Amino acid sequence: MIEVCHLCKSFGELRAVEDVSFRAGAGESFALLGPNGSGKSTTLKCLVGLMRPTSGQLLINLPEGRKEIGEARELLSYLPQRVVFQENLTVQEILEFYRRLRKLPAGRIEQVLERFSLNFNGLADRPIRELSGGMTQRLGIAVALLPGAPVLILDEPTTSLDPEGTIQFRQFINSLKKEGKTIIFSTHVLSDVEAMADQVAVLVGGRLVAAESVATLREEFMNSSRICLVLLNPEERFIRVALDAGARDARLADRRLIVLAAPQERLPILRALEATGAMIERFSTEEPSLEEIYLRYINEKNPPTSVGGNGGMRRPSGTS
Amino acid sequence: MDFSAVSTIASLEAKTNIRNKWTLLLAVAFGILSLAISYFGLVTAGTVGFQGFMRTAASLLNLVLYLIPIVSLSMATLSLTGEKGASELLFSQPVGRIEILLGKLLGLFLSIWTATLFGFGLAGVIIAIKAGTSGLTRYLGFVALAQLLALVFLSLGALVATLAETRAKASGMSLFLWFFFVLFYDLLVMGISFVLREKMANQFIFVSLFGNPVDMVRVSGLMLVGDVSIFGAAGAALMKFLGGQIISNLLLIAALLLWASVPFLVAGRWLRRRDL
Amino acid sequence: MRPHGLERKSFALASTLLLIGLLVTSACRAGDAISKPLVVSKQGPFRSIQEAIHTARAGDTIHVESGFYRGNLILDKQVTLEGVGKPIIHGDGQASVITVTAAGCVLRGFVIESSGTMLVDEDSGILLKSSHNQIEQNELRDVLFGIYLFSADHNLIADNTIRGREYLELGERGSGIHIWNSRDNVIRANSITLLRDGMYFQNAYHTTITGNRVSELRYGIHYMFSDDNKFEDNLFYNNVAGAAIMYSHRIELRRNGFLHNRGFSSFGILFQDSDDCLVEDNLIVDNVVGIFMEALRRSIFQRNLIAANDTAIEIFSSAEGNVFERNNFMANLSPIQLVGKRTTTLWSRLGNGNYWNDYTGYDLDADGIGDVPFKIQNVFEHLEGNYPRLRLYLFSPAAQAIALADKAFPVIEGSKEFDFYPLMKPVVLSVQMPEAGRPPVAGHSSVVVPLLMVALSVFLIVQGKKR
Repeated sequence: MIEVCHLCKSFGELRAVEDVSFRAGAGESFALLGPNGSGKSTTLKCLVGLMRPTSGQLLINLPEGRKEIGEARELLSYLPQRVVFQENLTVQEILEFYRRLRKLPAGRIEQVLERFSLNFNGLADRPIRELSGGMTQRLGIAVALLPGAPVLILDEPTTSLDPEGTIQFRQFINSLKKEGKTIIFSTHVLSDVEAMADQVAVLVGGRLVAAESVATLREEFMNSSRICLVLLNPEERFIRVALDAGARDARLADRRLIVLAAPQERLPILRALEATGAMIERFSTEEPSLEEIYLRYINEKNPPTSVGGNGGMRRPSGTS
Repeated sequence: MDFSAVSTIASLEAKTNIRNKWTLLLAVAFGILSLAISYFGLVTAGTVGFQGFMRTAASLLNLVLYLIPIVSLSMATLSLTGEKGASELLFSQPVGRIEILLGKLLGLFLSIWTATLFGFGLAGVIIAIKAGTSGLTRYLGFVALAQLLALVFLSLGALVATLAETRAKASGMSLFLWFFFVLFYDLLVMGISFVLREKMANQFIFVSLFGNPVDMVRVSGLMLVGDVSIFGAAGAALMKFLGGQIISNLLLIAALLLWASVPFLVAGRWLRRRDL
Repeated sequence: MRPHGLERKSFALASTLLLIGLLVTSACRAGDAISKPLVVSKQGPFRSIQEAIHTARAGDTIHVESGFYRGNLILDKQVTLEGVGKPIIHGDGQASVITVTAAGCVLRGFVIESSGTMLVDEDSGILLKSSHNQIEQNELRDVLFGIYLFSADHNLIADNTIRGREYLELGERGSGIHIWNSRDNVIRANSITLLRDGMYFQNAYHTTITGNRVSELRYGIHYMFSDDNKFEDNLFYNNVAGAAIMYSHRIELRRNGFLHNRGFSSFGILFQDSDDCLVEDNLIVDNVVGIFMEALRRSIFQRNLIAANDTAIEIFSSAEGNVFERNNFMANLSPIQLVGKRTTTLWSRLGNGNYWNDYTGYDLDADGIGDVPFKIQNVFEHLEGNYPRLRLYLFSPAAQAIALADKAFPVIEGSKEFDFYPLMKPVVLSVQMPEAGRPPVAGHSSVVVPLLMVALSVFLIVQGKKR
């Protein structure tokens, strides 16, 4: 449905997006995962026409053939990263405005609100300034869902939602997928990817460092979960023991032995440590931070020279 | 051009601006000022019993010349340089950017129109009571001129807002523009005219009028409420230079319309190419 | 604005015509007086006025009953011609409708219409070529000139209405009352409209002009080489220009109104090359220039209301020794415009200045006279006098800024025109604003439109606020 081919976007000297390509089919949900400033928003803004790509092609496959995406903007619906409305307008007025702008039939608003059970708890006639952040985001989502566009482009849609809202939102996405919509969203929350995405691309420093299925990503991810052991007898030899027992990495800091291992390796490692005389006071397991995963991707996929110390994360101002 | 989208955007923009306390403040302030001008202008005149319409209208014109440009400029820049999130959702809709800009400007115009109409109406009531019917049509023309000035400076405000990108920069630029057109331009032209030879100086001044919408509104406003004779010999020379009263009025109006549309079109072009 | 050529030409022609007129008069024989008036009516005894005049003897009275009488008339003997019920005398459309050549005639109560069309032949409603006549209560319409006094002295012209040919261009019309080479006439309470000039004076001396109303024409008074005339209680309004007084001495203007004269480079009163005039208690309101003076000498202006003019007074430096005292200057766009370096005009006399509504000084000793001299022109107005183009910046913020800056830090050598004794309060005037100068009382209709504007605005605001 949507094809991004060699998208590049620079702001003067700054290259915000470099040679990004991916495709997302109908009924598919595509996640752009990456830290702040990695070029996710810029990519989405290019898709939706807010920014002009410096080079590359953005295409949409339609029954009548492939088209530049700019020529089919009525097929897109976009939710910006931070939705702001004129605070003296009411929820109803905002919805009505976008309904008219999209030239949708009169009953559309009620239909959509009902369909996605988005209710504004009697706030429909209140001005935006009385709405909480979550409510405002919910209104933004309602506006995005209003046209029933076949392609939804959502920039960090779950950021300011409360847990309940997040769960509800994930349900929308799944039901929209079933309807055959294409959903492209950005996030820096892994659980979003797990819950909603079929495909995921990891974007770091404007470059696509991985594009794979969620399952693969998950595996990668889990492989780098950590066990943190506090030892009563911290000795250097335990590092060797852990590595021999299948750990991907291990190091000792003061009394803490930090072991990097996939979940299924945890037990054998613990056993091996105990067997060799480690006295474990307590231990905890830690999932890796996304930063770490990005760093790992960078280190694996790119020679270290091309990406700098802080992971090559360039932060173009105003594009995160 | 998608006019239904333009009108949808315009009416929402007008709505949000009319709810804005600044617009209400403008309506009240403009109302009080124009009421005061017309009341005191005509009351002092009334004691000796003559019609003071022209003087009153001229004082109102002065108020218009100072106030309308700065109000229009700041309303345009405030509305067009808002937070990113506000414009992103709007600009991602399948509506042209020119349409959005036009809709916003029209909405702003409608709210300025609404706010100033209140003051003009109040002043008009006083004028009608004190000075009678004779000035009414001219007064309406004068009100229209003030609105045209608002349109020109909204358009300039749009240009400033698209060029500046940030609100602070845009506010600075609009303050400069206001100062330039209201005050500095005339001083500059007068200064240069003293350096030129007499005949050149006159022509220079006449041509220079067209470079400043504030001047054009002032000159055509005074010509409307009074007569071109208000400018004495200079007025006669201006009429001769421009080719008669009707032609010069048409020229001034046409130039003002040009001033209202060109900055808008340039702003539109800029906006179309810009990243949001 | 200052015509010369035409006067000379018509002077020559008029002289020729005068000669012809005298020949005609001498040909008529004088008759004896009879007591009973001759009656002209459709039923007789006389069916034509001229026939009655022909029959009448000097001193006779002819009553003309209402009806329509065709043909020009010549009053060549001393008769009283009296219209009963406004009979209409319809001229031939050539020459003058009524030509009076005998002295001491009375012409009263007629409608006189359809004169000739030749300006050079003085084609008038009534052409007076003799003296001691009374022309009263006539209505002249569709005439080229109204009443033409051609070397005619001691006449009384009173209560006539004169309406010119509206369809003609201003320059193609004649004057309402045209006085040439005449003296000691009284012009009273006439109403003149839609001609070229209201009253035209040339070599007319010792005339008294009172209570006339002149409107909708070019010059209210067009005036030259005419001394010792008195204008009182006249009203000149809605003309291209009020009064142009040129090359004359000792003119008195008292309690006249010069209102709404708004043509190009127009004025309420223009003085040129005149001396010793007295201008008092006049209303000079809403003119482009209130008083224009070039080479006016030794004249006094007192107790006038000079208000709502674009420029109150335009003075050339050739105007010398004039005095302004206890006038009210109110709401003029600029008080004076001085062409040249300075004037010898005095803005006060014996400690009495004028009232200027722009004066912002104070009066600590409470004697009614401001303690700070009033600088009449601000620096911008001063510059304007010698650089007329700057007038284009009238009401511009830039001009206001310059004036304000100069007030705070005077650097430019500015105007030397000061009123050293500015009055704190306006002078109470003896004259009332005539109806013609008053603002028309607002009809309901004129308030409706601005009220609608307010209502619309309020409606829109309420609509906008409604959720």
